[in-house]
Amino acid sequence: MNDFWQREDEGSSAHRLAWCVAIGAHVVMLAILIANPSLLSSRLTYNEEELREQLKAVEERSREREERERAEREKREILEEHQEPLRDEFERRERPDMVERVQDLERLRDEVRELAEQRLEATANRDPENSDSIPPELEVPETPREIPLAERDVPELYAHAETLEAEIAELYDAARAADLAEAEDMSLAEAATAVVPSTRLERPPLDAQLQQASFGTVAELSQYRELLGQAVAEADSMRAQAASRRDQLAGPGGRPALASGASGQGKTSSGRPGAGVAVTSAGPSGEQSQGGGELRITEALERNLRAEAVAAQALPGRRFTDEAERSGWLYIDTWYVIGPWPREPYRRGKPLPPEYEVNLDAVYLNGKQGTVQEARTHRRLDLDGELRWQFVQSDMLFVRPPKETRDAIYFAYTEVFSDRPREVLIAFGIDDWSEVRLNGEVIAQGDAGSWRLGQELETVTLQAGYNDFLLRMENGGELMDFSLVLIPSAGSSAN
Amino acid sequence: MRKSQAKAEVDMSPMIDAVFLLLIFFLVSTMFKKEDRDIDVDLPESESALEVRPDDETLVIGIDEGGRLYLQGQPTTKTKLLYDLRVTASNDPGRRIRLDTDRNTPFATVVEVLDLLQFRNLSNVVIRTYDEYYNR
Repeated sequence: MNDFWQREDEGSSAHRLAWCVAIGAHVVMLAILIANPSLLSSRLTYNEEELREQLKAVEERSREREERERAEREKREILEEHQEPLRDEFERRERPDMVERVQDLERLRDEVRELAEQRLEATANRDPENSDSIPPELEVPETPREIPLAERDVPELYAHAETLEAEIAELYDAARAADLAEAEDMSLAEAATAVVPSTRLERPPLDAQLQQASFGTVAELSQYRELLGQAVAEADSMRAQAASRRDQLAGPGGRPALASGASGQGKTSSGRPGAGVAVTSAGPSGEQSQGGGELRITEALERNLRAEAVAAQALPGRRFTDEAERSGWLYIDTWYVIGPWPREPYRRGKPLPPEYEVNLDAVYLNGKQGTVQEARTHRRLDLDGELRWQFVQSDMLFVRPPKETRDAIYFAYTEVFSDRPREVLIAFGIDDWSEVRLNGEVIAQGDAGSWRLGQELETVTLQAGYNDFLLRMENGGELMDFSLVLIPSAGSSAN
Repeated sequence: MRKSQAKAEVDMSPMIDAVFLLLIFFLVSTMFKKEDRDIDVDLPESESALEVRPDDETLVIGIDEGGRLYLQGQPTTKTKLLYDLRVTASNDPGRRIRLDTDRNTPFATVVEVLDLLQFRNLSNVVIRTYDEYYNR
């Protein structure tokens, strides 16, 4: 044996190496088997006992499945048997919440009715010598309450809430028609046909779904409970919408007053509460943007206004305070924009709903319709006439409206804050025909072939607190941009 | 013959029972009176959120999966929120604002609300998230 390891003849080293590899491989295999004895057993102990265990496991699984199915059957039987008591129990839990919301809706309906009737009466009697009569389409009959609320079930309460919401919307439209009649100096009958109907949100038919619900399975039971919860949530939404309408009619003292302008001829709106100019509110002092300083706007500044310089130097912002560090031209980068309306028949300032009331939750249905091509992307745009306000922010001087198309009218609304009354120079760049309102009053109106900053320069006074800007833009061409820049102090970088 | 000198003593146990029951009753009823300002949202997850001490005065703005707005747990409208935040900014500019959003809330709506808060100069804003670390 020693000879084998000590031999030096040819081929002996190869033999030794082969032996080493073989022994090493066996050692490794042995180690693996010791470490994982299951490798060995799985091959060797596959016997009758294991087979029996496997069959037993299959039988157990089958028995479990049968038990589960039996339990499901029993549950279904129990649910079917107790369907009515369960329905009553779930309803009993949700009914007080629903009753509370419907009661609130009834109260809001009464308030909106009172406000609408006051407006209609005031408009009808505006001319003491020639009083107008209220047309039947503006008289909204009151929904009778035949059964006390506490005795109604949730589907009935939901249906009643929907009726109340529709009634509130009709009353609200009647009040808006009265506003339109006064602003445009037209009769109430004419205003009733001219007024654009306000938002009518589509509600899911939960009353029918609740009445048709059955309790065959636990899933259906859960679904019924979800429907009940959804009914309460929808009633919540109706209440919020109704409260918003009541606030808008109630006037600056009690409403979230936004810009409420007049007709396109530069008139201010009617003097009745709620139709006036925006509120003056002493807001908090801020430090976000434009710096203050006494205004010394010179003719030279206006003459030397160069669009390129402004475009290069203007910074975004909407707050003017004395403490702020930023100075120079400031462009308004944040807007709510709505459109497009068709240019015909509303061309040249023919009033559209945002000019009477800026309601950011409103949906208008008289927008542009049909298939058009979007100006910049050349994508197909299917316009269905439904318009909503959209939040738009721009990282540059130019702001572009959504759904940019030719022969269209857009509105843009924003707020600007000033910590004290402050004179500012405003430059607009809007194409083509435009009208700019500050706090409900027209400050500029004009026509421009294309976008050019400085086409309109106005010196205006911002009131202390929040100031509302409303832009009306009528564009003939495909492309459209608008810009609004302000400078409050002398020595600005625009010089 | 000596008379029995046993003293009559009052058993305090029922009184202590009654006092504890009253205490528990008031504790529970006070807890129920708290206003529920949360909305049903699936919060976005965070791994580095800081825990903020709860504050009953916090104004809670909620935005659900569909972009609907809530104020203090009640549905609200955009127009009304603009007005309510204007009032808050006037009366209590330092008030803490908590933003509860769903993980699927359109981000544009979150930006819109954040921008509105900034414009109203309401800078004490926190965003509610779900952090596994605080829920172990």
